[in-house]
Amino acid sequence: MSTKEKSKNLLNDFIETQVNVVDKIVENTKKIAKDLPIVNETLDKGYKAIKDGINTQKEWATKLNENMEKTQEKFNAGTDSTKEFFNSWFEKQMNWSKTMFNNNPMNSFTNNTNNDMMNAWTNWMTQMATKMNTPNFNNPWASMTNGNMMNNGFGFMNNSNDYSQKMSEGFNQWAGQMKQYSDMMTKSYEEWTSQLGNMTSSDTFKGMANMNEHVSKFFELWLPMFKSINEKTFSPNMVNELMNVEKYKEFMDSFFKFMPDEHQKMMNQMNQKFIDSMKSYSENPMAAFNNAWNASPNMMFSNNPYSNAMEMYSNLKTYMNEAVSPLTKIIGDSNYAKDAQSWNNLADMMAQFQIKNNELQYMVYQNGLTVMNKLSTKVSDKLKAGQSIDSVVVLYQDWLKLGDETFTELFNTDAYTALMTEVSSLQMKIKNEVDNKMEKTFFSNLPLATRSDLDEVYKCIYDMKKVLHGFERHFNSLNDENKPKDAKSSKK
Amino acid sequence: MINTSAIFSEFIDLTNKISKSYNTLSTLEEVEIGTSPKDLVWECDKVKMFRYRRDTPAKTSIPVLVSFAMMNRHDVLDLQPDRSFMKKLLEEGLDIYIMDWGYPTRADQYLTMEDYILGYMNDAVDFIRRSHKIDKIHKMGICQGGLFSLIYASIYPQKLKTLTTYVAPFDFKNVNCNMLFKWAKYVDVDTMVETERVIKSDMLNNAFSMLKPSMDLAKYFGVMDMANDKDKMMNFLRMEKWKADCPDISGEMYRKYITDLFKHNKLINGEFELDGKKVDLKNMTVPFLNVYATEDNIIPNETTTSVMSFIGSKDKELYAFPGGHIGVFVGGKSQKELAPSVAKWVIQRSK
Repeated sequence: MSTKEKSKNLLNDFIETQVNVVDKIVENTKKIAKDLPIVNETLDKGYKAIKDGINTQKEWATKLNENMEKTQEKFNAGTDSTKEFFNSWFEKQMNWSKTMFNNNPMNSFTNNTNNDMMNAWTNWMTQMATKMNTPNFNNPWASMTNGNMMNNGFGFMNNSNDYSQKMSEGFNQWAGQMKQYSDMMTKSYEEWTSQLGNMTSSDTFKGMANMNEHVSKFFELWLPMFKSINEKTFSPNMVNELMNVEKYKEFMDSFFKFMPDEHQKMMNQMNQKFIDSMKSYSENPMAAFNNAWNASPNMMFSNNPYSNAMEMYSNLKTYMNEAVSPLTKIIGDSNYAKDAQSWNNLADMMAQFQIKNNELQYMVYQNGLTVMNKLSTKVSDKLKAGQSIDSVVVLYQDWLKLGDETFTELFNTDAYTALMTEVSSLQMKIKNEVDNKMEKTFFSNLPLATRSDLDEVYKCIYDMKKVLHGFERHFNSLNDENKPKDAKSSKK
Repeated sequence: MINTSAIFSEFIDLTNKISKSYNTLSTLEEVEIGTSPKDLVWECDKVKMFRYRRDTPAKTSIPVLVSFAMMNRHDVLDLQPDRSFMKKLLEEGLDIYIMDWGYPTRADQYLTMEDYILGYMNDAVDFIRRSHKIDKIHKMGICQGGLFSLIYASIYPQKLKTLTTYVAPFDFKNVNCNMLFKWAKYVDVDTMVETERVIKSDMLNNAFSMLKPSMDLAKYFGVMDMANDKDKMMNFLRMEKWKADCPDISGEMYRKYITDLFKHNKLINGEFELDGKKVDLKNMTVPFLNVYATEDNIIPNETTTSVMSFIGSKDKELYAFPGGHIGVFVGGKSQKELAPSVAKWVIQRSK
């Protein structure tokens, strides 16, 4: 695809995404404010304005596309126009997002006061109550409150009535919008990166995108805790109960990237053949982790489920060997028997790798929870001191800092080091074995130079070069010996 | 309480900063490092040697040969014109050659430590001695290059006038001094070499990054704050470019490096051999300046400083640089204090 077409598609994607985002925001806001005729009316007007704006932008983008094509033909460089469009789009996007957020009835009260949602809400409600007590005031909230809530004071805030429910809904919708926005940005990063002029800039931009994505993941992970904080039910020991274990794993995996992609792919493929049969005792670490989590949300359990897995596997292996060895004796020392034995050894290594790698990951997950617990204690202390949580970035940076302390302490232990190096060694042995088998199985009868053949050639070249360099040094030293003599003779 | 408004604004602000950074990044030209002018004067296989150009005569007729570590490129010594350790040493009057170990591939898997120290390094030293018609030159080595230079100086003290090492590991006795030292003690290096043949830089970088796991993400918060400052952004990119440019390492060389030095500390224990001959640190009698960084989290100080009592040199000095492993070459103090001090020390011993 040409750069021109790419840019065109990019523009279209942007507009489409923008339309979808605005639609979604409006839809979500309407859901939250379904019983608020005034808000809905305002929203409809606003929505129309936005739609008009988008249509204008579409026209503008079409013109821009045309102009861009002309410009590209003339200057053979269309990226500037794309950037220009992106800047304009981005600015509008940000403004609209902010406007929509500010117009959202669930948020309007938060923007007016001291950044404290509940206080702001209370203040706003007090103002509303004053207004409602005035004669002939048409109460827009009446249908929501099922009676005169003012008579009940503000106790409804702590009950699961419509308001707090809608607060929660609003929170979820808001989180959904954030996620959608973040996903949209992530999708676009790749396109933008390709427009940058050099690899270092591209890598830096990718790094920023990864960081942003990881912050979003962290935010998503902490959303249940945020809700709990807002509902005034949060306590530090709740973090393990509230946290979504799948999301936690995803978050940790993206931070540590346990295995390089290629190895992971290879292992996954091989797992299909060999590891399925071992499933009963070498489950994915998440299963054991999940069970343990459910059994003891505080994660202070002392038994490592993988020590049992390894023992069970050893027993099974012994049993299998006893059962199979008489058969191999009958077959004798043939190539088939050797081959079968070799595959058996490979399967054995892979099962061991799987169990130990799970154990390693499990170790990291456990320590990751320690970090989360430390962080939640910090958050709890902050809340007790009457402070509010104003920044996910600061919270995330706290997590990074606490993580560095905890993880480096773990990495420094003999237990982790021994296991990590063992896993790494097993992984490499498997890779080596598979490489060799691939060569023998697929290439031995073909007139092709295999990697092993090339390694032999490299060895020959290395040996020859060594001899050559030896000669060169010898000649140089002979020259060195001769030169001073020549110099002396010329002086004479 | 959760301040939803502030958090929402923060996300918008974060994205906005990324957008601004993108704009700045898109205006930047090619990121160049190692730009001080230099000429290729010698090469053998993939190893090269360059000589930095000088505008004025050097203050000493005895040149310096600098060798960097093999797992990184020497460009960090000349990161940018106003942060160039090499440029500063040139300004202080030294005549400088630098070795470039190149980028080994699978074809170079059999290269040994002997090939690098007794072969390439010795050939480069001899080339300079021959070119300048002198018996001895000054030698400098950084990190692993410092260790190799010390080994070289123990074998060929007659060819060196002085030895200066920077942030180099010599003594691997205490495996608990650093996570990487401990990992090296446990690592199955034979399997690693048999499998990989050349040790991938990614593998080593991953291990280094575990010294501070958050680094690869946390650094971008700082980058976004420099979104409006092209110069600062460029400084960051230069360092990033250097960090990303990591050669692989010959498997056989790596095997000996890990087994004999990290695992068995043979150099300090007097058991280390090159090409079947024992390397005796007591033979290292040349004047020695040992520079270490007080905040070094990669090479702990004790692994650098303890060597002073094992070598034969009478003229020996420790220089404590207040900073980190890389700060030795790119920090402000590096230009203002370290480079002039080192140059002075070298020139004083050139007579």
